[in-house]
Amino acid sequence: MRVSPLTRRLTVIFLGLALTFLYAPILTNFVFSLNSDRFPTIPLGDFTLEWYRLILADALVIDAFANTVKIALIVAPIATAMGFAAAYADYRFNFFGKKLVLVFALMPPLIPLVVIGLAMLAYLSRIGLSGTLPAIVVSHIVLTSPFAMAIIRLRFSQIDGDLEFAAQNLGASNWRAFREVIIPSTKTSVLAAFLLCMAVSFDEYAVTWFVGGLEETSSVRILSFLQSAVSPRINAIGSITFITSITLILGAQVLVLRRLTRA
Amino acid sequence: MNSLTDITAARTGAPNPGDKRMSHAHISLQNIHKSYGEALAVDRLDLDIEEGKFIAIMGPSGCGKSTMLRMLAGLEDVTSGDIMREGQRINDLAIWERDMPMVWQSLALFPFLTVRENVEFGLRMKGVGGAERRSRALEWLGKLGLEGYANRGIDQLSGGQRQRVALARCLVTEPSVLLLDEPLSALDAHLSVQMQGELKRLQRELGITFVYVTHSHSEAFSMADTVVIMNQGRIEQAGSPEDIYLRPATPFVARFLGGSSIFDCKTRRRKNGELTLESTDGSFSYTGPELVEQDEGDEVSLIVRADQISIAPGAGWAENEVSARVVGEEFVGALVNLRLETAAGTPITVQLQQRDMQALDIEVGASVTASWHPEDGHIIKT
Repeated sequence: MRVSPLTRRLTVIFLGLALTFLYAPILTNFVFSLNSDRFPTIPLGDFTLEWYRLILADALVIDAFANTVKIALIVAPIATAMGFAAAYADYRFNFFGKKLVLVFALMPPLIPLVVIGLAMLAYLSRIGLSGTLPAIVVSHIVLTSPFAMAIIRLRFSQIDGDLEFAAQNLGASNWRAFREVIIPSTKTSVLAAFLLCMAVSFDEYAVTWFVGGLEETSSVRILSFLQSAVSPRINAIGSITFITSITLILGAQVLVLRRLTRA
Repeated sequence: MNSLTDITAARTGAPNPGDKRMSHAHISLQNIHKSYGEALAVDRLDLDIEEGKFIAIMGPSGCGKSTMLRMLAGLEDVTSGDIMREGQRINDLAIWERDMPMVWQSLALFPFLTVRENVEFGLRMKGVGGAERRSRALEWLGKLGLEGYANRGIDQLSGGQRQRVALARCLVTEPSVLLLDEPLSALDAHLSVQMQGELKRLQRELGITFVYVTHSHSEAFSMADTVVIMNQGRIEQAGSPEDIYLRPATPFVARFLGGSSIFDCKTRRRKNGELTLESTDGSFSYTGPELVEQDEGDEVSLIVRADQISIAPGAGWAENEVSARVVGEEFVGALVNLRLETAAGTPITVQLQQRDMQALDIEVGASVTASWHPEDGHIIKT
């Protein structure tokens, strides 16, 4: 497309402003986590890793990180498996009410988190699970599996619907055709979905705060810190959490985009 | 009807129970019904397919031709009726047990495998060892002119090459029957004609049964030993291409093939080997071979092929004359297809040589007289 130099310059400026608006706070957060001053002020003090040392010595923070990792590692495989099953059912089968089922399957991320949090809390406390790690796991599966389904469905939408039948037509049994055709065709998108589920589980705090009780994940820990005192330790935890989840999300993006450009 | 093929189309009523015909038919469809809820896709269909024949099934979209092929492959269940193969009922065999490889309209090649791996797939499923698999796949790639492409990816091939890979993938297991679902529809006209020749040659050399579904007249008539014309889940006519072209069994077949004019008539009287047909376009005399089968007062369709009709500027020159107006013309090489319409609204198609057209000096909107010989034409009872 041809654009005038002025339009091009304005577009670049606008894009720069938008990106700055999005990422400046996160960058600031990162800078102050390495700053020796107690309060986030300019000019900056000295470079220090003191705040990271402090949080790594804090048992509450270590517990929260351990919980976060534990939960993510349980949530991601289960949510990915469920998302895959739903996406495969959509690809392979036609049944009455399919659209309705898909709408319900994709809905959880669209419901306000406070509503889900409250509903989960009420339900989980009735069955005696509230305030436990399994409660957080269950909630996170509800929240993340739609993402897994969406990513894997995107991949299925690019696969020729006859492919699996073509394998069967050449002598592959149902299971064999699945193994020979569906697994090789979808494995990268399954990995991408897995990473994204981990990232969402890492970041989630609202519902976790509702159902977790005394069990904390790192994002809930940040919230607790904020409620008690302003400390550059928050910046340090925030930076670690951000780097972890952005790595997971970028990993997922790369896998999805690579598929799209090749197709 | 072609003496080598024994195709029976039961168009009305239940089939004769004594008529099992399973002795020599390779594949036999017996009284097949297929319905989706209320909708009937295939209705009381009987068809015998001879071993080693090229059979083309054609009809308008939604006529049930693809459903029939999918039932053969096991992709669709049969609502009722039997599918027999060499006398064995195969209704309940799973897709992977049928051994009827199919060339898909979408080709359905595996994009994550190389050309050779695609061709080897069927052999691998059958448990053929690596070395033999490889040599057989390469042999077939060679036969189809794809020697240098074994290690390429599918997305590095042209449309025609993919077509050949799809064929090689099916033929490498040496099946006795091959199913083809509009395989040439994605190719351009030139490549399609070239592939038609190759398909016919392959089928003749291998001597295996081809069941070929298409909506293209030229594909069906240029390759098939037997053409089956379907409409609304039923077989309208099955026979050799020549038979169907010269003697369409129903007005639908004549209309579907095109190039003919159809007059709805009532038979009047028969004397001295001549039949008079009354229609809204006037009365015609008929002395052709179907004369003896007609009774007085029958409702019939008179089918006259475009090449049997000639036109003149005025009346009084021939026996069966209809005056009509020229509504369209279409140039096909040295020939012209002229579309006429009578005062009663009956469409007439005439085929002329370009130079005759020029000699007559006709243009769209002109009034002309169309005529044909009483011994030409073909009568169908309606």
